[in-house]
Amino acid sequence: MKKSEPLSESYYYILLCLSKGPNHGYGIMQMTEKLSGGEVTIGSGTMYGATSNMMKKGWIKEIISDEPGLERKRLYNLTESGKEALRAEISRLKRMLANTEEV
Amino acid sequence: MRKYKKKYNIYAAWNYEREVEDMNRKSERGWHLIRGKSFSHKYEYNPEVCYRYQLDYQPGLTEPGRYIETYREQGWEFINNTFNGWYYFRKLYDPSLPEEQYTIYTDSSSLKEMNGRWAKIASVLAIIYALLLVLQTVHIIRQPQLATLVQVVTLLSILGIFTRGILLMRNPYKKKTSKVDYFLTLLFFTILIGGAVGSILLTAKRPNSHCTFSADSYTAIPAAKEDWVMLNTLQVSYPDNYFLDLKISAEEPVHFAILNSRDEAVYSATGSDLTEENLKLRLKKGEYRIYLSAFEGGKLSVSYRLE
Repeated sequence: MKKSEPLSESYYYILLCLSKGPNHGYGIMQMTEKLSGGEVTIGSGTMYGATSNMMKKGWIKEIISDEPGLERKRLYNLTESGKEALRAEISRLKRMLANTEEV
Repeated sequence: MRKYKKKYNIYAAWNYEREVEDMNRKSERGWHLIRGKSFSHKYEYNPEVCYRYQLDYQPGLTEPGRYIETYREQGWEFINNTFNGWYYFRKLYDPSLPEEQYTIYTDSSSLKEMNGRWAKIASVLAIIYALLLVLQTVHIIRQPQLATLVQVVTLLSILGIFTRGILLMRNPYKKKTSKVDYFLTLLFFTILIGGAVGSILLTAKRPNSHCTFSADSYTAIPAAKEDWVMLNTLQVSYPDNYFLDLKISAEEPVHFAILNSRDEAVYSATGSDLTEENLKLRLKKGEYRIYLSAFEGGKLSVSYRLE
């Protein structure tokens, strides 16, 4: 497998939020803001672009919710390759952090 | 009673932030955009509210449903889109919320992607302009004419301003809205329309004249002026360069002449085997007549084109 490029902050948070289960764009945005203490925001344009690109890459796919209260709502779900991309990024970040502490 | 107003305006694509700023400023004064087109805006008056506007460029949007929903989820109201891919959104303004709530591109890579979408399409257009420019430049070197000159100057100016716009869109963070940009936008559209209309008018008002005939045995034409045979007339409405192609092959020498309204020859030649190709004639405004004369009779073939 070829070495993957580091993910942008927005991509990383979207994948991270979806690792907790399927979610809609607004849910991802709120969760990101909460996790980052308001440091990271994902605007609508960035969200649409990022989700489109990640669907093209096959990292996430669209599902239609059948949960009560969220019927017919569009949700994003992480795929196996999406989980793999997230794992690769997490280990890259861990390595960078470990290296930082070594120096 | 609802109050509306329509305003005509011109914004260059690379200057779309200025359009957003203008819409926001008008909304602060109570006039809220309800329909955005490339050259006009429609506003509705309501002093009670204030909106923040955003523009997105999404040519050939494949998932409009998911797109609008992604915006709606974050409180953006979709207003309308233009035929060429610009989408207008607005959100009610709440001063207590942080400014990021009114941004749609929150990281540099996605903003670059959006600007890049425009730059990519514009680059294709710029290449077409550049090819046309090369074509017309070759044409003007071969046949210098006013209409072609207008086209070359128009294409050159448009290409210059356009290329600058593409470079600005490629570096969205270097962009600053300034008076210069507004001036260049106006200049761009003035040159575009002026150049197109100008060259069409100049071309339409530019006559041409041509004639081909051959006869196995043509009667003699005396040399006296009153007996000359007029082939054609040409009404020149503005001074310009004209180009003559001429081919004469005859049994006996024949005289070919182009006379102006004062009966002065702007071109004349005598011979039985004559060829001119792309000969430049500078013609002033006025009427010109094309004559054959001084022919002793016999086989005659004349073909000319003046344009």
